[in-house]
Amino acid sequence: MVDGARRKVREHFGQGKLASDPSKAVFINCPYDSDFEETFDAIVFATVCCGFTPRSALESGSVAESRMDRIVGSIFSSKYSIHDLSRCRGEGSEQLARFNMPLELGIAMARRYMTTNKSKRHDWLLLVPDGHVYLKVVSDLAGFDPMRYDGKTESVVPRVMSWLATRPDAVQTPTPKAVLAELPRFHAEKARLQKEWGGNLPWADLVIAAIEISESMSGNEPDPGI
Amino acid sequence: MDIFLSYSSADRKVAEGLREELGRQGVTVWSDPGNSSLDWRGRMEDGIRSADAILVLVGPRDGTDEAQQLTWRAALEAVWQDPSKRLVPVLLKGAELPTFVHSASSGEIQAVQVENSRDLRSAAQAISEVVSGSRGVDRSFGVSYEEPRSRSAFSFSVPQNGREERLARLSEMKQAVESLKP
Repeated sequence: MVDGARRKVREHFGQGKLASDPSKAVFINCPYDSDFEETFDAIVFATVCCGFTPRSALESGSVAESRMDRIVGSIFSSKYSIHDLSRCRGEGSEQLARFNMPLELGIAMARRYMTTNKSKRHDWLLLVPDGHVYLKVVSDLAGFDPMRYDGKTESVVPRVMSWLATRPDAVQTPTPKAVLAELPRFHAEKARLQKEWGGNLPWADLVIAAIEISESMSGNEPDPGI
Repeated sequence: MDIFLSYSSADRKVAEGLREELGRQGVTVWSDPGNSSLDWRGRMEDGIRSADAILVLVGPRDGTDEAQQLTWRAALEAVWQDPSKRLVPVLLKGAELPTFVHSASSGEIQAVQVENSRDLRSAAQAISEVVSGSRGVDRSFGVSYEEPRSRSAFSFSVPQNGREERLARLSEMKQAVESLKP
């Protein structure tokens, strides 16, 4: 429904057909503040290019459901999730770490242990930047070895793609080089849509933009190689 | 030539036999029973980086071994990083080709089907010829033969038809998301 020319709203994402196929859904639990936006967008775009629908706490929009209910609903209706602990470190004058990421990782873990059917068990990828001492923040994660990357999109994209490409529900993926080549187009389209939606870009529209760019890649993939 | 051999714990016996046979043919094979620890992972990734080719041994029950999954991911990243590095799937009888193999290259991927895991010498011969590029494709993928097979192992070209499946998946995703529009 449209609420004024500049401020449009979107129905809650995650209903209909998407709600019925968790095996093709990936919950993205990564920081999306301005410092991290490029990496977040790269993860979202790479996920779509690998044939999976990204889910996020951002998809909730303005509905009268508690944020935690919506996040739990999204995680529980996704077979996969990607978690980045970059922000689990002291920040600001009070040196506080952000705990939303570990909280949502914990929800994903609970989802896994609730499922006895191996083929339907929730699976996650844990990403940690080089040099991050995540075990000092969440020592219970010892034994769940994360994938490290150098904080740049050029390294996080292959990490995400190699993980998704080796999942049981995977399809053939393009190469990371092809995805990185199209990433600027995704950024530009996102910026255009943000302006169109007055800064409140619905998650559905972002995902559709990513899908359309990914579809257009299929006929024009460059030579393999990162 | 240095080769990295990826395998699951279920196929350890065959992997060790292949390593011996390949060794007799002058091929150095890196393999290390995985345990997913950080130390092992570091050694594994170093082994893959320095290898000229990566053999991915796949048995009929493979795909869930965590250490094997880690090697598949590392192998994929390695061939993306260096397209001159060959990735050669080696399928044991009853095994299915893992989907990720299709993502390793947009060019031809040659694989080896091991029909008789008791004759690892023939399998090793086929593998080393495929890795060195001196062996063409013996058979088409999925073709069945009426005459008795005289070979214990043969090579085939991995069909590259995954692009259509990916497009179909994207189309399905788009339809589902567009159904949310007003």
